[in-house]
Parts: sequence; C-alpha cells; structure tokens
Amino acid sequence: MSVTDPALAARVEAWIDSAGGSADEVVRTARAVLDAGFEPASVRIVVDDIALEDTTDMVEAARSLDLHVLSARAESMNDRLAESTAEFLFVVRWGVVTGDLLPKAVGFLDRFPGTDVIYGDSVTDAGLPLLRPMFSPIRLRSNDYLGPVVVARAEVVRAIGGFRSESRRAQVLDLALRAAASGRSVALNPQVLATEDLAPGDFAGTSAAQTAVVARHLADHGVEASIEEVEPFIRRVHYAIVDEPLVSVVIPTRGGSAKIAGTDRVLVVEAIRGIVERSTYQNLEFVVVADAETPDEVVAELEELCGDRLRLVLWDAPFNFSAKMNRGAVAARGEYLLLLNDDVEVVSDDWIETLLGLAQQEGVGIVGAQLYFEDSTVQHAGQVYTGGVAGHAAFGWAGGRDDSIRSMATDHEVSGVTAACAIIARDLYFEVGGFTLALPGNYNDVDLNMKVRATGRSAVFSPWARLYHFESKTRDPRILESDLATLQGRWSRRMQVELYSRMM
Amino acid sequence: MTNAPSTRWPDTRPDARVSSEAELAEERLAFIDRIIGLEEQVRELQAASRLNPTEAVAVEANLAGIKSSLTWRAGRVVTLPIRVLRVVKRRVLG
Repeated sequence: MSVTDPALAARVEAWIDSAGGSADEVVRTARAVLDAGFEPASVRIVVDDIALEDTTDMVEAARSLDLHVLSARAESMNDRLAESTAEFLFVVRWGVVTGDLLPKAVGFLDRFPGTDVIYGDSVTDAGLPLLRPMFSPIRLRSNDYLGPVVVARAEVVRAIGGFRSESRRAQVLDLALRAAASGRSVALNPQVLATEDLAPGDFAGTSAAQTAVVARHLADHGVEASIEEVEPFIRRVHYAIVDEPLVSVVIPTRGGSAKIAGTDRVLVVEAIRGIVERSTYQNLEFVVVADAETPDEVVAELEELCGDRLRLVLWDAPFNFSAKMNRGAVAARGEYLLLLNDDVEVVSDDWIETLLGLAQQEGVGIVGAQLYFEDSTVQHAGQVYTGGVAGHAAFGWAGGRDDSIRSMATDHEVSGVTAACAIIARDLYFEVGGFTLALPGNYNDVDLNMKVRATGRSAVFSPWARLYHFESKTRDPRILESDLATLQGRWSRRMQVELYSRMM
Repeated sequence: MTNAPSTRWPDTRPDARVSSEAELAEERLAFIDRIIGLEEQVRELQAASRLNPTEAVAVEANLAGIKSSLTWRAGRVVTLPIRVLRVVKRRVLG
C-alpha cells in the first residue's frame, strides 16, 4: 500500500460502501483502494448504523486498516463532504478497483472538464468484460447499471444539494439522477475500473430504496408513472399517457400475402386486425399507403376493419419505402406517428401505451419495440452501429436470454430502432425531414435515428412492447454500395463504436 | 399471359389520391432532409471531433487495439520497404 503520486492523491477521496458486504470483502475492497494510490486519511468506510444489521465487524475492519468510519446517515455524509478538500469523490460500492484507477478516472475528468459524474466498465473475477452503456437516463430509472465505481466532482455534489436522508441505500442512483436532471454531465468512462462478482443479491432493502428514489425522481419532474419490480434491482416504469393523443399508425403496403404458420394471410389485413382486436390504446387512425396494385378485396377488408379510422393513401410510383412513409406522415393527423411494417403481429396488448409513454418523456425522440421472428427468436432489440454499418442487437437470441445488465428487461437508450415498428412525434418527424429519399430501401431508418439523435434526443428501445415481425431470417442482407456511401457520407464518424448495446 | 394490375380501388377512392398541398408537404420534407444531409456531410469532413468524451475514448481504445494487433504489426513489417522508399523519394525529389 503506497501513495505513488502525492499530488494526485491529494485531489481524491474514496468512500467505500460496506452495505451488503462481509467484513472480509470490505477489507479486500479497501486494500485495493489503498493500493490504487489513495491516502489512508482520504479513505472512509461507509457503515450504515441505521440498519438493523450488526456493524461491529465492519468498524473493526476499518480500524484494522487505520481507516475512518463514516456513517451512512446523509447528515454525516454531507458534513464530511463539506469539510473535505478533495476535488473528486470516489464511491466504491463493491468489487476490487484496478491499480490504475486514479490515472484513468482523474485523467478522464481532467481531459473533459465538462464531465461531472463518471462510471466505468469492469470485469468479472474470471476476466469476462462487463461493459456498461453510454449514459442512459431512461435505463437508469429501470436499473442502476453504474457499477462498482462512481466518481463525482465534489463541488457538483455540493451544488446539487449533497446527499438526501430519504435516499439511504441508494445515494449513488439518486446522485446520478439529480445530476443529470440538473443539466450536469454524467458520462461513461469506457475503461475497466474494477473487478466484481456477477449478480450480487439484494441486500438490506437496497432494491426497495432504489425504487423509492426513482419514484421520487419521477414525481419531482412531474412524470406520472407506476413502478413494477420485475426482479430485485430491475424495475419496469409504466408511464401514464398524457392527454391521450391521436396516434397515426402509418403502414406501407402492396396488399401482399404470405404463408405464416402454415396459413395464407394477407399481411396488412392481419396486422391491422391484430391491432384493432388486441390493442388497448384506442385513439388511433390507420394511414395505409397502398400501391395501386393492392387488390380491391384487401381495400374492402381494411375499410370494414377500420371504419372511419382508415385513411387510405395511393402510392402509384416505383418502390421507395422512404417516400411511401413520408406520404403517410403527410396524410396523418395524429400527434404521434407509429411507423409500422405490414408483416407484423401484436404480442403485447399494451404495446402502444408502452411506446407512447416513453415517447412522451423529455429528451426521448423515437421509441422502438422488441420484434420476434416467426420462430420466437429475437429479430430486433435495438440497432447497433459499428464500423459505419448497422445491425440488430440480440439478433437470433432465444427467449429468456439476456446480458449482464438485463437489457432484455429494461427500457433503455439504443443507437437506433428499426422503422418496422417505431413511434415518433409528428412534429419531430417533420423537423428532421422524415425518411431520406436518398435511401429508398435500406438504412433509411438508421438515417432517421441519427437525425433524431443529432437534435439531442434519444432513441429508446422497450422490451415490453412486443410484436412478431415475419421478415425472413434469410432475407438477402446485401446492401447497395450506394446506400452505404450515402449513410456513411452523413454519419460515418458517429457510427464507429457501439456504446449502448455493448453486450448484445 | 400477363395480369394487368387492378386500378379499380383508386378510381373509387378519389380521396386516396395525393392533393397538391400534400405534394408540397412531401417536397418540403425532402428539402429539409437534403439540407440536414448536406450539413452532416460537411461536418463529417471537418477536422473537429464530432465525438463526446465517451465516444472519443472508446474510438481511441479501438484504434489502439487495432494498432497492437498482430495483423496490423505484420502489415507494418510487410509495407516497411514501401514506406522507406516513399520517404527516400520525398527527400530526394523534395
């Protein structure tokens, strides 16, 4: 244990959260923190003496290393925060920090002075990477994915009011939510900062404390929602729909048929039948952009199914998906456009409420659903962009498969969502010029997502809105060189490294 | 024998045809997209980084990974004579 860089050590303070850990584990964590170059006088073991658990061992452990004990009471933490001269506060929640934690974390904060709170990647004891997503405020409501080490500028923690007594056991989550909400920059430092055990169990009511923090955060920002605990540490936020806006379901079609599960079906008719019969959201209109070749009987069936909610729009030019969708958007009267392919079938009845509730959140631009192939494997759980090209996250995954941060059970930010099923505010669609005509067949949705994100809004995926998408797994994946050139001409530098769905 | 495409339904649904106002709105969409597209193309060509801190560090790590790969190092060895000749040529010819 040695301080190798006194100047650096003077700028930092570490608080080791002992909640849920044994004394031996906390000692292991503390030794690693000291080995990383912290001054012993700047390391505190946070002990929750309000909880019913016996803290004697923990206090003894701290004494054995000549470290201070800090009560987990918010008043004690705020007192310490006020008297500390450190520039950066490291909160170590579990695991073993890397020996080069200080240069990595402080180096990042020094290089990017506009960054206020950071978290990082980690590895398991076996060396498997645990890669965290770029800062994702929607995901944070469902899962505190920030990992074992979170570093904040001390002045920022003071500026946002320090720690709150009502956030006991979930102070870091509360801090990150408040920092982001107050316009501070929370960022992923994509470097390994610690080694940790996988899947810690719930401890001392931490999961419930996190739920309470999220509920308070939503209430503070006027977001009406209910929170369902999916499992410990994983929450589903059910957002209340504001003002029941008209949603225009925009579907391009040529009235084609296909054999699904051994039965011939007219795709657009069955897609709309499913929505009419199953969807619980009622304020809908159906904008069907139909080729002139669409059979009369298909049109008649649509009229019968939708009644006066049908807006039929003629497409009488060569195929151009982008132009067809733009035509539908122009004809639509809804406040929101639900972009939909005609070869889908609704699985979850509340899919529109799920998508719309997210789309109404501040900062969210476009929201997509989880799509399954006919054999119930996953076709789409968000798009991944890497090396200037796009693919689907979790493509081909069997049901039940997930990554280490439970991406298949949490609403979360993604690089993009497929336009096979996506909702977007009509105003935003027009603000970004809709689908580009320069990409008539492929990648037009990637371009749309990038345009939306360029406005500062996010693309969000929800695993709770589920549909079948009968697009063939064996669809010809060839992309025209010209399509790729168009896409990369606009966005190549921003599509090099995937930073949202890093484990999928 | 060919099947002539049916055009009956558009004839019975004149409201499905695109109005001139709608055509203008579609053109406006395309125009906005064209402007955004050109702006983004210019930004792609600018030297200034378009990346946020997380992206910048990730891209640098990616690049460092590529440069430390066996493939990269082997390529550097293979292309060494060419690179030496280029330097010599530049120094000799100015």
